[in-house]
Amino acid sequence: MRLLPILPGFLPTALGAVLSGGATASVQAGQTPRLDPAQSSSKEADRVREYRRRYEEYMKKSYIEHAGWVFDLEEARTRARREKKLIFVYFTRSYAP
Amino acid sequence: MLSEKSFTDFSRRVVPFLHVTTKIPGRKGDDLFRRLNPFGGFPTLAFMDEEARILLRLHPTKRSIEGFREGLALATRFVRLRGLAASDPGSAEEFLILRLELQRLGFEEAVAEAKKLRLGPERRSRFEAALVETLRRMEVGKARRALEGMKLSPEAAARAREILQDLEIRNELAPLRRMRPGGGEPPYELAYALFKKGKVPSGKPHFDSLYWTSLSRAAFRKGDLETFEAAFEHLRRAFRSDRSGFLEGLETQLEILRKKRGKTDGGAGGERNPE
Repeated sequence: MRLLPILPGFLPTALGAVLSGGATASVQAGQTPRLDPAQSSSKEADRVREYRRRYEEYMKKSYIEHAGWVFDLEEARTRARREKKLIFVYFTRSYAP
Repeated sequence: MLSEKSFTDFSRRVVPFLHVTTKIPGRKGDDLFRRLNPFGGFPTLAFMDEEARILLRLHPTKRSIEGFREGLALATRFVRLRGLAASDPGSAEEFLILRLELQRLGFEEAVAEAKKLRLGPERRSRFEAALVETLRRMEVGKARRALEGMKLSPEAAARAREILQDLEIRNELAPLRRMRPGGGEPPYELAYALFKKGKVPSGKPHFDSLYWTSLSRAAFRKGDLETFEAAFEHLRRAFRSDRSGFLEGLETQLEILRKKRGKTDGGAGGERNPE
């Protein structure tokens, strides 16, 4: 407890590094831990892979096979103009569960 | 529902366009939702014209085939009136009312536009009915100021008063909506105080469950049978069989209050009125 006034911010950041698996290269008192560029790009690549996986999973949903959905806005606009119809749009997302 | 045949049938009357936001960096058009519908949340179902302009968003309560059909009829009417408004005064008036009904116009904008038109009595009445509903989207002070000097029909004026009271109630009950980090008891007595002042929500267009639930809790705590009964009656009518467990809990509380009342009304151990 006596360390707290001496090293404000150190304990939380150091503890954070430990809890997150010690991935931080270096942590100085009062600073937010930073990932080195290699680790950072690796995490980013993991996240993108996960977004792709979720999207591919989402597109297997059964409702998508029905109703002849159009996935391209320009195609939808062209068809709306040609067929004199309105566009019924369903905006959804695949990245969140 | 989107997998059902009824939707496939409906989809033949429109161009069904599905957009999935993925957050995959660099994916073409991934930001389309934010560009076309900057204030919307997921999911959004809407009708667009061929220019990709959103004509109307479907309210969550309209997410059914019937709701889609109603939405399509309104959106089609919107496009037709928009096309005629410049050349036909009657269509311009209808277009103004429809945009108000679809919440595409604000109060001041609509009043300014109406001044340029000559609304007959029937359209004036529909215009005012739709106009006062826009007050629901305003802050109470601003809504009050907007109404100053307005000459409204008695019906529209009465509805405007209801809405102002609903806005006041919403303001007063704001602390009940806030998160309590310490996990303390929500201030249910706020609803109780409003009820005792005769301030009751209009219930239009939606039942105010926060008000009535909070009132029931405060009334139970205070042992106020009549107020509890009033809250229970509103909750029972609103929820019917939808939340039977919740209503059963209220019935139990009602019985407890009635038994207590029985005792104090002269039962053994109750206080007797000396008169």
